[in-house]
Amino acid sequence: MREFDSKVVIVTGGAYGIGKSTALEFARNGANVVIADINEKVGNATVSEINELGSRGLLVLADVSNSADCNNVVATAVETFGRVDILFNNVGIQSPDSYFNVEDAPEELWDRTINVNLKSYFLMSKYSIPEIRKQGGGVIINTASVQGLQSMKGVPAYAASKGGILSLTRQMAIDYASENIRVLAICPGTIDTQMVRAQAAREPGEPDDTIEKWGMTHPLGRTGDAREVANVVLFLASEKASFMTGEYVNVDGGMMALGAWASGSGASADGSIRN
Amino acid sequence: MLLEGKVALITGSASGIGRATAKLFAAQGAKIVVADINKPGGENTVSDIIDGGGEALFVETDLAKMEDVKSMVDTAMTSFGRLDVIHSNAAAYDMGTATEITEDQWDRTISTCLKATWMIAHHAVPLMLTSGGGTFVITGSDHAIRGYPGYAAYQAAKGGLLAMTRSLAADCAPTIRVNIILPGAVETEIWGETTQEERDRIAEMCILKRNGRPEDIANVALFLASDMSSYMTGAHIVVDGGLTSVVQLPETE
Repeated sequence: MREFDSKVVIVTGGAYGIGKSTALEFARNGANVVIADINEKVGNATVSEINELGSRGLLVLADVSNSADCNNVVATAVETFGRVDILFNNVGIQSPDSYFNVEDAPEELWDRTINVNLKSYFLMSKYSIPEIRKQGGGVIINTASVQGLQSMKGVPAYAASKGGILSLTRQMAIDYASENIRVLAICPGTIDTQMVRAQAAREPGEPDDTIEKWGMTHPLGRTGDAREVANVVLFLASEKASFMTGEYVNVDGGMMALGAWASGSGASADGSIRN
Repeated sequence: MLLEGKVALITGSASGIGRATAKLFAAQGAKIVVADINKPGGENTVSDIIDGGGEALFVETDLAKMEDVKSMVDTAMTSFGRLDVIHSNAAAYDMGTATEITEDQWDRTISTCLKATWMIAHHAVPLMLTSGGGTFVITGSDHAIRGYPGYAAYQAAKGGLLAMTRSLAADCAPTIRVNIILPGAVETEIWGETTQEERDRIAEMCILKRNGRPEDIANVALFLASDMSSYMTGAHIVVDGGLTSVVQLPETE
């Protein structure tokens, strides 16, 4: 008996990156997984990988900033698999051309970022909760970001969307605890995904060098792998985390533990601690 | 098994969260050093683990004493040859406001709840670094992030642990990961004579409408001790049934 046997999980933004890795991890642990994504080709490839693991995958093409699309994702999930137990709100955009302060940020950029990164979490929860309720409870996990806690120059819409996710997480936890629906958030640091690769490409120099440099700003001295985030999501979604709700968990290689003037990594591998 | 071949040292493991963690870690393949000042309780944890087919030994330890902490760490090394996981979990405290508690009470609480973790790190970290690293899990408390009347020294100690987690994480990265659990209301032996009515009143404040069990915290400790959390360090995990997520307002209806 695997942890998520007979469970049905919906993953938004499940074609790539953290979403894909988490979808595969759920599948490996017995769940059937519905991928909601706008990218048909990559989404279908992820579904094939899920099927190869012996679970059932399903791609529902959706722009999850759109209410009708979200409704359709949930309806299709129920039609195909008969139930919804776990919702992983994970989709997030931060395009390489989106770095503006509030004066310069186009209103369309603000709306698009907030709608995809935050409103979709509201909409997908709104339509999923009635189905989760029918199972006597379940779990909603939201991908926030360390940028919901601390930020950098030029990302007002992204930072606001991620801070909003933390508040929405707390709120839904309070509202649905009595129905045995736990709601939690994760705050990833720099994870080596397609989104981060696209951001690295706008920096001067080789993207690999940029990724390595970004990794060094984390005390663990490296960027994270999407599977390392997936492991945290599966833990939070499992019964082992049954006394947790409303909270967030940083998965950031120690980034949030470090003050601004500290340089990255501490101890060297030979066992000496930096003085 | 998540801790196959590992050696784990757990303080305060004669009872409560520490005992639950010791049994869970053992079931996941770790050899356990049970450290506590309570000898009968500690020996009881050890015999439970051995009865379950695991391996464990008890080290009677007064965490207020540097020589006891050193000897505890040394015993782990001489008995099992390595040290991979530490769960610094023990706590003993005196209640009272800043004006009520005495200097002795302050010192005793800070010593057991805060200084002990530093002493463990002081002796164990160099050994763990040379043997290739490991994980350090600390039991903090929601007292580190919220104020409750009558716990002046305890809150200072737990706040200190939260800050020290970040400092240790920064100093020991990337070889040792250091993370802290902040439990809310978890019913353990330390609750003593607390009446059922009072237990129910506290459970009512958790949005999950129950108090925690030691196993709830042990599960999170295992997650943090294992490779499942390989990209986490310097992080805190609140495990409180939503106690700190909600503003406690009187019912208006």
